[in-house]
Amino acid sequence: MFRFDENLRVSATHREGLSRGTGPHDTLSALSGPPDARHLQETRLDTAQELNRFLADVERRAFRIAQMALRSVEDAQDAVQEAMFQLAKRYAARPPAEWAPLFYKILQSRIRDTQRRRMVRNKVLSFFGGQKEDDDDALPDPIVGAEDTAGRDPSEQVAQADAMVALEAALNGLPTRQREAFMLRILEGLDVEQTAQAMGCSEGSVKTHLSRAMHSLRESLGEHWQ
Amino acid sequence: MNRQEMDDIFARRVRESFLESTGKLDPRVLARLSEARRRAVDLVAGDKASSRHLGWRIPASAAALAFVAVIGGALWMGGNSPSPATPFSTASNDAPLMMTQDNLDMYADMDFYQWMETQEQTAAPAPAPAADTSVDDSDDDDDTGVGG
Repeated sequence: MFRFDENLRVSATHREGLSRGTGPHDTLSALSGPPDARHLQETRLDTAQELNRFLADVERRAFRIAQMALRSVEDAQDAVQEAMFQLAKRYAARPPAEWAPLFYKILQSRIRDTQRRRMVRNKVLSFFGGQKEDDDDALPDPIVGAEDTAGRDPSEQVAQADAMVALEAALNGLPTRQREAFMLRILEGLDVEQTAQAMGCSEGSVKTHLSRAMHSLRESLGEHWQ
Repeated sequence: MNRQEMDDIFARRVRESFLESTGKLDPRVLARLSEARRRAVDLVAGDKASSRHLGWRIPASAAALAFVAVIGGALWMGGNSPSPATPFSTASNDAPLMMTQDNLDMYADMDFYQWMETQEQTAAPAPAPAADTSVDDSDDDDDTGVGG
């Protein structure tokens, strides 16, 4: 790519500043140029650092949401990576307060695309007599077998793991909009307005979808979560 | 306990378990997420800076394209209308001569033709100047007609 060398120079300077624990203005002291150019660089590095903090905050939750929806580690990684890239490419100039709904809007779109492609692929394979593609790929579930950080006994850990597996299965049994509303409102913690922006619908629709999702999940998961 | 309270308790438990699960991610997953984040941040850090330096790249690219177009056009037009001053035209004029097998044979047997000329000069008597001129002219015409 033609921007490769420039990216290297800027990102190296940027990372150097981050690794030293210095702010963007300290990093900029090494840069030269006219005042307008320096101001542009200051803004750029401020945005980059702000975006870095935002993505670092949401990346684990975003991955888990994608993994629960797609039931595939690899597909979930791809979806989150694409959402990060598109947010940086298209919406980095927007106010940081808007990033969360935009990021999750991209992520949900990517999740739906993956599910749609998977559905078409399975239909084609079944039409030609092949076996359906397995949702889970080669990588093991990153949660199963992980060390329990809460210090609980093994039986509690097993019960917790079973509850999560049951939740994921129940979520995948929900209609798409209900699942999205539940994931964004309850799991990610967006407010109603942000969830409506991410889903591209009204706040009233969010409340309706969420209420139905809660009712269905409590019905099906009562033994695990009550 | 009403339904709203039960929903709140259910939501809180689900969220706690969900957040707990995010702390148990595989290191390979975390590494890939970090790498994806770094690339996204680098895109922002480098994008605007490089766009400032993009200004000279577009005219340079256009100039390079124009140069190639001019050179290509000149070569194309030059091939269609040969100029007598160029070496190519000399080569093209010589081409029929070089392609004629008889001429090449003649150059190869140049010793024979020189010997034959000396034989003719020694055998034939010298003619009168006026008659020679008229006869030579007619021979030249004949030779021209046959040869030409």
